[in-house]
Amino acid sequence: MATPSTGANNSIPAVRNQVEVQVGLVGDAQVGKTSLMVKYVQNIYDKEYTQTLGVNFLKRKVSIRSTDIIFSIMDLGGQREFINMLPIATVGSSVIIFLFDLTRPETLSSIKEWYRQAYGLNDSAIPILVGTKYDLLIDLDPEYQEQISRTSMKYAQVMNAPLIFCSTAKSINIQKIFKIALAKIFNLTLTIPEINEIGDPLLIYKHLGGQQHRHHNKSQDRKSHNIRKPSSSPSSKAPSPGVNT
Amino acid sequence: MTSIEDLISNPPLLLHSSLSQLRYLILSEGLPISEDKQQQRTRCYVWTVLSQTSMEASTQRYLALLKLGPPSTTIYQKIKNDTSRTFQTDPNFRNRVSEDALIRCLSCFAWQTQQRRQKTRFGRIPVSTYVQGMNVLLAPLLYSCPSEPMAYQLFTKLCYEMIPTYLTKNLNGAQNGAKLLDISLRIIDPKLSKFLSDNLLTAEIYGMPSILTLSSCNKPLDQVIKLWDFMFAYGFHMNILFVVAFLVKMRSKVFKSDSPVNLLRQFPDFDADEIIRLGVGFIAKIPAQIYDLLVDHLTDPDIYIP
Repeated sequence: MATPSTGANNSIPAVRNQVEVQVGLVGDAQVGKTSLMVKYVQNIYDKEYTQTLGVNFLKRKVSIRSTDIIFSIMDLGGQREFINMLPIATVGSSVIIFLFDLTRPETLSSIKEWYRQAYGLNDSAIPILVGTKYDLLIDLDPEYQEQISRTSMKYAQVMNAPLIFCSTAKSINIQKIFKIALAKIFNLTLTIPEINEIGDPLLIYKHLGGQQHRHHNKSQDRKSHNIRKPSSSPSSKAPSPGVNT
Repeated sequence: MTSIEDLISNPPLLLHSSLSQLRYLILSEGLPISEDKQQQRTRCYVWTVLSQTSMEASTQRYLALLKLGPPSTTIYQKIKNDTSRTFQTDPNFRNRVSEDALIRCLSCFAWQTQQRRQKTRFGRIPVSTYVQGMNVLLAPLLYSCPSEPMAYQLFTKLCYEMIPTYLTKNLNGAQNGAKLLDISLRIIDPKLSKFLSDNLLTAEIYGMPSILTLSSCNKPLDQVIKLWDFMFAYGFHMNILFVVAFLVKMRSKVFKSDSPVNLLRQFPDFDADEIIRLGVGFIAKIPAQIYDLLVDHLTDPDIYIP
């Protein structure tokens, strides 16, 4: 928070708002959570020394007009021994990114369970569904590509989550994930065009993940698609990251 | 022959006093880091003696476990998911230890753990067949021992007897280790401790890898080996104080940094002698009951941490 300094001559230093936004990354082991996070924050794509043991935590600042947004990004190891640490990545997060590997359909099936567990801890975060390793998907059988694309679109509908296919190795759609996250949190309008064509790196977000829509249709959506709701009664509170204009 | 080699080449007259003598020699002289086979052999013998691990029939037992083939698909897949990611950016390690060796040892461990479970003994801590981190714990052993069965034997000793609480299905002991790390840092460096918690950095986040792997996730591996020489001699509970030492070493950088959070995801390369000196120095500041908890949390799942 900037306070006007008395020593200023003509212009008063502009006030800059600072907002912290927490984002959690969850999904099966080896879908590429850490790589994506390191790519986004440090612009490095490299092998890690070991697999993630527990939680990785990185921050990145982005500026939108007079506001600095600090992303606190938490990435949780994908094996069940770390499930006790799931609250670190979910509680307090405005957005939870659910990642699966586009070349391994079983990692998409796992999203059901990740979603159920994360939703049980935080039912107001906006979900985003991200398919990773798009650069490897395009080498696979076109029929498979179509199948995984359609299935993930269905998941995105049920979760009311924007859907993004990305490649960390080839820098496809990485920045856009976080732009969409911000837009959804703060109800901003984005000009990024959607990509709907099967075979392309899908980017579908306009009618998904909105808070209004999300809470309005929540019970209906979930029931009709058989994703189990946690037994606790859902409290329909929108995430409150401080600024909402 | 060095005094260490001299000492371990003869049967001890009195076990306890000989062990103390060996511990002291580790502290005062240390074992050299070298590629030399004979030196490697000495290190492995010293670790074996200090942990009182019997190598009797270790090869036969290892071969018998290998004959069982791969464990269940789920476990085998999980193991293979991680073996390729073990120190994968360290060419020196990858040259000396094959991924196959890691897979074999971890598969045998899964089998042996299942067999142990069938012979249930009351009060035994339920160590998992495989949890993440085991690969990183096994790696320095395979790197240091002259043979795979010896590395395996030391690995079972480490997992079943020295840090069993860390390797249960929810890693409860390692969680307790994180709580103790928070407590220890608060005592030793209150200013740094407050700074980190103001930045949402709890020991559970920045400390878990180093706790769970007894610091073997840190680089370089040769310095990890020296740290392990010390911990085989004086106890793996010292690891928590060594993690405090890692942090204290970084403190001025952390305070100055624009993004302290990002600094702590991976600790910088370290010098084992320096970390040991700092860590040992902290003991005097740790109250006796906390020190007891440091020792007990590795083997006692039911400790109460204030």
